[in-house]
Amino acid sequence: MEKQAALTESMEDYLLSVYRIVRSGRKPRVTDIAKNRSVSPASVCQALRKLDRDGLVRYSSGRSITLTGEGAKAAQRLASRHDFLLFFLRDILGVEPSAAESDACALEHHVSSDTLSHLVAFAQFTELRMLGGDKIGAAFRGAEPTGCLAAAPPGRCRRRRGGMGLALSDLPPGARARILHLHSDCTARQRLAEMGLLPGVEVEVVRRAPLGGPVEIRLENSSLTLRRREAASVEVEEAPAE
Amino acid sequence: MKTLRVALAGNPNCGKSTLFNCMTGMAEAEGNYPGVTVDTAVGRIRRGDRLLEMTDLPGMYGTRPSSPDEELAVRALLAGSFDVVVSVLDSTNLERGLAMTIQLLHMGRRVVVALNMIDEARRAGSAPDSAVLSRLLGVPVVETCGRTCAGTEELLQAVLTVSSANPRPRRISFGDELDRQLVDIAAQIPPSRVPAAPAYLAASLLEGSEAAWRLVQLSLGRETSARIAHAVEKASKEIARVFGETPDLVVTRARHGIARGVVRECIPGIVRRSTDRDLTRRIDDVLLSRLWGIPVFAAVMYATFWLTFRASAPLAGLVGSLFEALGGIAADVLPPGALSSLVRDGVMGGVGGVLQFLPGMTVLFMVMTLLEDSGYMARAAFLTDGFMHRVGLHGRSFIPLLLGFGCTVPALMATRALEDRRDRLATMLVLPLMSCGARLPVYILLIQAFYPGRQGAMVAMLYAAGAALALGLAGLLRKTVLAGRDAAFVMELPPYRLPTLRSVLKHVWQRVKHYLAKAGTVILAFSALLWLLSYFPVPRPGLGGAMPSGAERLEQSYAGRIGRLLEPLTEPLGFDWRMNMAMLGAMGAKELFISQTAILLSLEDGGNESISSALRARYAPATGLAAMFFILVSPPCVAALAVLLKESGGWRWVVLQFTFLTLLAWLAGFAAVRLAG
Repeated sequence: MEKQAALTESMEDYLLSVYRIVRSGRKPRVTDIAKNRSVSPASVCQALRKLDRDGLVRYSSGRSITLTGEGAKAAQRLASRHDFLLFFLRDILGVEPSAAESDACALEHHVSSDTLSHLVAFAQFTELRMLGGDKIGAAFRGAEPTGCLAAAPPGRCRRRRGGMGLALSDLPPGARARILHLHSDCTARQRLAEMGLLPGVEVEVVRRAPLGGPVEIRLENSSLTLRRREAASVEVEEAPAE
Repeated sequence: MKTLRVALAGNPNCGKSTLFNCMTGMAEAEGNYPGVTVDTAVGRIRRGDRLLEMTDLPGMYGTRPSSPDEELAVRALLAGSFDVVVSVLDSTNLERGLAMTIQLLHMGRRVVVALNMIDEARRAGSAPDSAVLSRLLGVPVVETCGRTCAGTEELLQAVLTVSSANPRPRRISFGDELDRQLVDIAAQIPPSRVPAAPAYLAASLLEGSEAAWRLVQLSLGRETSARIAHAVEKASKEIARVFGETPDLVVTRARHGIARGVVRECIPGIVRRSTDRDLTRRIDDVLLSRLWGIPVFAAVMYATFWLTFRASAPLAGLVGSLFEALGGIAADVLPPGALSSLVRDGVMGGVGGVLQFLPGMTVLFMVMTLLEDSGYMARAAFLTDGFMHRVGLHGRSFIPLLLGFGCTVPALMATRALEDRRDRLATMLVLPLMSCGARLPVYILLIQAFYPGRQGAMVAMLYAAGAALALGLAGLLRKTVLAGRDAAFVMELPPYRLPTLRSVLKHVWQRVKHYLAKAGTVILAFSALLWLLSYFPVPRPGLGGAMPSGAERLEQSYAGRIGRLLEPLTEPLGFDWRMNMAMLGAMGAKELFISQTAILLSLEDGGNESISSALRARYAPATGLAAMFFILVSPPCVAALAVLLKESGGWRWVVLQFTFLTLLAWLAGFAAVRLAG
């Protein structure tokens, strides 16, 4: 594993932290990273200097922190590993979500790319089986087969908000948008699809319920409601007003 | 006589049940929110030499069921259990309904389309042309209007006509690439051995329909289904490669594309007019606004309870005095002794005590019906989901929980519309804490006795405490025994509709009838049983021939002995054996607490004082408060427990509910005593 094999586990984590902050559209600051990783700002500075020496991050005190092209690529690789491992643990093996999250964080540093590619193949295999109704994966998990294919190519399978463009939940009431993609898990996706929320369809955000409640959207001639989190998994592009 | 099995199928809230009632003349529950019909209802009509057996299926969006009520319907449709399927469409929202119709045609069913709510579509200037639609789909299309029952006769005629035709699966083309894949899968399915067209099953399997897969496995056996699974797998990979999307989306989108094409053809130039939907939106701009939404909702709830208590008070008094008078007449007419006591104390006291609250219940039923029919219930779910989600429930749980204020039994049934089993179980388990209508009379009685003049505040406090406990417990359950990911909240908001007088009256009557039936059966029987327990054994005259006093007699009775046995347990709550007896009686039905107390007290002193004053004389206010909390929290009546057993499918849930509610009731009572004392 080329360059980042030289990186220690904690260096990888620092790199990921910077990457995530950049992806969320904010400027990475030493204090944010320190808070994020719960370490002192001094150790962040030290780590950043090291990453700077490795050519992954550009950092000098008083200047803003940026990722180099190489750094961004390395971080992206790490992030997609993390996402896949999380998906594998949580959705294929059925590990409890919070444990899956922390285990994915631990595994991502140690798993070899060869093992990883085999895991990816296995994940695709079980998901396809389950679509065919085969109970291998399901029987293992002690559940009924979901009858759902979640086998999008691994890096894409469980895209976090950072990995996707505009979400339906980002739009203010009154905005119109065209649906591009449904990133929801399969049961929710099928439900949305059957109700007519399909890629290519135009919708209008009507209102949001109080207290962080659902979003009302208008589609053709009907009103649908979805939770913000579900709306967050619907990727859209803005459409001109009527 | 030949029996024809006919099913009504369509999206939720497209008016199937209303149409069903029009055709069969039955009073099936209908309302203006998705998920009203949770079990299939059957009605029979005779037409010439045919007997039409109409089945009202629960609403669905496709044939991939996502809740138990949908699963029933899907299975029946796939298995070809019906001779004719009436595909009911909401004319104001055709596309989604047509996607369902297309599936029925693809499956190979004999179909009649009902263009329901055609009046609304006409008003909006977007009424579809039924002749064009009929030509495009190749099936009869009938315009109907559930509100006025227009078109029902034509619909029945069309059903009869179609029933003699040979069912022929329609060829549906999804586009070259997809069709090629479908043909490959369908080739593996021998048409004569499955009850649905192979082409349809192939599409369904690609969509990941579990119901279709089960059907294939059942009808074709292991080996063939393994071959089919292999074909599906191969096709899925291919589709994912070509379309860059999962096959379920590709197939669903193709079907919706066809539906959209049909809609475009059959709705001639859409004239934009101010529609019901626009009006609905303007109303919602106020009722669902961030500023007014919650206050309006709270006001609606408050008004509901205010009407229930205040508006009905004079009538309640009237009914009470009527039964008192009847009891007096009975006592005069009948010879003194066991019979007279049974009629006066057992029947008139017990049943009459409960019937006093009929006016209040009627008002509550009326308001509930108005909320359901107008479409406000779905808004309530929308407004409350943010909050419900935080306590670990689903916004849809709100409707059953709200219904729980009426009666726990229908509320339990309404949980079937919840997609996630864990959500559903959690909701069912805490439902009894939503103080049901039957508990209300008990509170009123106890408040009159111990906290007169503070009815409104006390009742509101009890309802709020129950609801808070219910939500807290549900959250706890969802984090422990019923932990799991939460289900999607995708729901349709129906447009507001003005409820018709006919339908409101019908619903109210339905519910009142149910209440009366309960008073006439369960409550009458339990009243009589309690009377027996309290009247016998008839004591022998003591030394010197003196009859023991009423109080002594009661204490010696079976009831008294059981109550005594429990005294050590309930003493911290301030309950004596009489209160214990009443609480036991309340297991039969909560209202029985009143009849029990009435019977126990009237036997004791000959019924010379009112129940309230008798209660006041015997217990401290703290005990009254404890009793109210005990009634609020204790396990529901036997009817509700029986339904829970049936709906949850396991004794363990019933035992779990019974145990934790009993423990909690004791704790709540104890806390009340401490607080008040």
